[in-house]
Amino acid sequence: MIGFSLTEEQLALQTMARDFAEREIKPISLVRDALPDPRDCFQWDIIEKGSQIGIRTLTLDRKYGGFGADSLSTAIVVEELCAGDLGVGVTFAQTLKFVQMIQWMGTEEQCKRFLIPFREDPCFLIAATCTEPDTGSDHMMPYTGLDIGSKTVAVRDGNDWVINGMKHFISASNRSKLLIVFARTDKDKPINQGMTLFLVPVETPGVSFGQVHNKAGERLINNAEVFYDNVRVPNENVLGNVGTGLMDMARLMRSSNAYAGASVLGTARAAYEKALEFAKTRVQGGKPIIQHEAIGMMLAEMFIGLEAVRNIVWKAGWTADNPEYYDPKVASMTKAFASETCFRIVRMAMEIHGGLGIMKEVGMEKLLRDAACFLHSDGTNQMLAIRTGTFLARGI
Amino acid sequence: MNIVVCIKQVPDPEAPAEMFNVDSEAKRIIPGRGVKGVISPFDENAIEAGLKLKEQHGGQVTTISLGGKGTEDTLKRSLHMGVENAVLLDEESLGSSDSYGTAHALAAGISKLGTYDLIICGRQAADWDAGQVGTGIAEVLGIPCITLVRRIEVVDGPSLRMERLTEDGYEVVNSPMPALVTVTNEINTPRLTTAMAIMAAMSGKIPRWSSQDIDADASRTGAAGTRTRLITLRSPAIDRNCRVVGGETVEEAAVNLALALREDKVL
Repeated sequence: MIGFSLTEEQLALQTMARDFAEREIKPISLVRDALPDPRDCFQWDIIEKGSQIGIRTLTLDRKYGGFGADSLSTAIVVEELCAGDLGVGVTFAQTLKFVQMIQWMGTEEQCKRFLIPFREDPCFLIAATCTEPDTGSDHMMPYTGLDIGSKTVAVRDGNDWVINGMKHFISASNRSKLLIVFARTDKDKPINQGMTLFLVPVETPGVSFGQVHNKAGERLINNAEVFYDNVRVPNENVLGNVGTGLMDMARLMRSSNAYAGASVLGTARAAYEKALEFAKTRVQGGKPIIQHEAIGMMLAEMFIGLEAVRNIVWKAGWTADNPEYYDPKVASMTKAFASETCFRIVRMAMEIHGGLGIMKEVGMEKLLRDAACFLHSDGTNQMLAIRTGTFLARGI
Repeated sequence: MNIVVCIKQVPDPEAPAEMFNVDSEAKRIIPGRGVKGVISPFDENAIEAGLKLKEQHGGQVTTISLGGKGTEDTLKRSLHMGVENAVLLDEESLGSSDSYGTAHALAAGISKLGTYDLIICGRQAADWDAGQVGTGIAEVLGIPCITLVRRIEVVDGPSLRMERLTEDGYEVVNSPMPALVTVTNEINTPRLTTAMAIMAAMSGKIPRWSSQDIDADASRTGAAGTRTRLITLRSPAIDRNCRVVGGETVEEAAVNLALALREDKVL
């Protein structure tokens, strides 16, 4: 049997996140988006407010003082936050999934060392640094030659590792207190055997940040360059096992894809709701435009698109925590399907607004810029499709 | 401080009017599909006032509501805001009533809770806007009642010092405890629910008290206790008449608008 009703707990979290988005996130969304310096688009105040009601620590295990939310519940919350603003929602979503990652892969000692300070500090965010100027989605390629993958290296020196390299486009990295670094630890092995994850506090000597990228959309989260210059961390900061970093990241993809899909779903829902309201009140040809078949049909298509995306996001979220039902094809295609469908929904919402759709004060063009960001984020859609195609070819 | 907050579930007052139907025959308002039951907004102010006083002076806050099964969701929301205990008075057992009967039922429920220092209600519920239940409870319990309060302080004694709205401002009122206070939306901004409170609420169950549980007086609650007679119920007929008020300048247009409004007795 399949049940689509949410639990009492999930409904309560959904309401909490929706109220937070309405009251706290939406009022700052357009204002912050319009600021010319991308560094100014980020606002600490909203992170602190989210911390106060327990959003930032939602996935933290109860034994460490968090809520211990599962991946489906987290995806539901992420949709609500991103319906307020994509950048703010993704700022929380990033930390929520990396907390899960540390709990899944970290030792008890690592969890206590990093996650208890995380719990105590309302401004403690976590980022994972993977993408580099020459590498990003190729980590997902069905190709494991030595010529691809991260150029950032970590070399063993006694009990320490010394990390050197540069990352870019990294979400919330310049605002985070803990970085998860994806580095090559064996140049003679393919990336599925030669990559390792490290936990690096930002105050570690040698960590620095470069430019904050000036993006078209999703502006309320900063994306920045990160430099590692002879950054020395003890072996106790290896997350997971040496050499299995890529496989460990694949474990994260189970929930990460659901959160990415939920994020852009939030943006599309916000666009749809604005378009629906507009269509009910905008009169052309003597009647509200929703009564013109062309507009009504567009809204119907948008509605069912949202339903389809939400269903696949919920399934991906649920299977992330139920590995016996996990299907890597669903995980890979969730973000791709969600972002393509949602981009189309936002574009239609903008068209329904006619000339007003391109006026900045209306906010539709902002939602389109936001939705565009997820066509490539978390792996390009083409790369995800290639990956899924290889699963199909292998009969997975 | 032991604080009791009376809350009511109402159809979402933000829902558009076209989502409601009026059954004039049965004298009932029927919310359409999709209209959610929510806490009456002034009651959220009452909860917030209770929680703030608890944070300042210690004690606990209990919410109580008379309603059907759906009212449990409303009480749960109060728990998600940080209230410790919630009690449902079972409308199936007590019967539907007007403000008089509701006040008697709530007063009986509050008496069963035990001792209390302060009872807080919203100034009026967002469905019928009667504003009678709070004063009714105080009357039944024989305690002071201060309505339309926008500020509450506990001062030495201990007693209450309050600012009460009047038509042209406010007045300062002192009262001993226990007392009942009805609050306006000026008093505070209700807090959001929190994940921590949601987690805490998951382990508890909301007790459901019947008429027998609270030893309610059957002649004063439910249908027998109803003192209101509803003669007719209908949707108001609204005639819209659009008139454009102009002027040579913006200032002149504003003056003409003011004159037109005065002529129509709006101002």
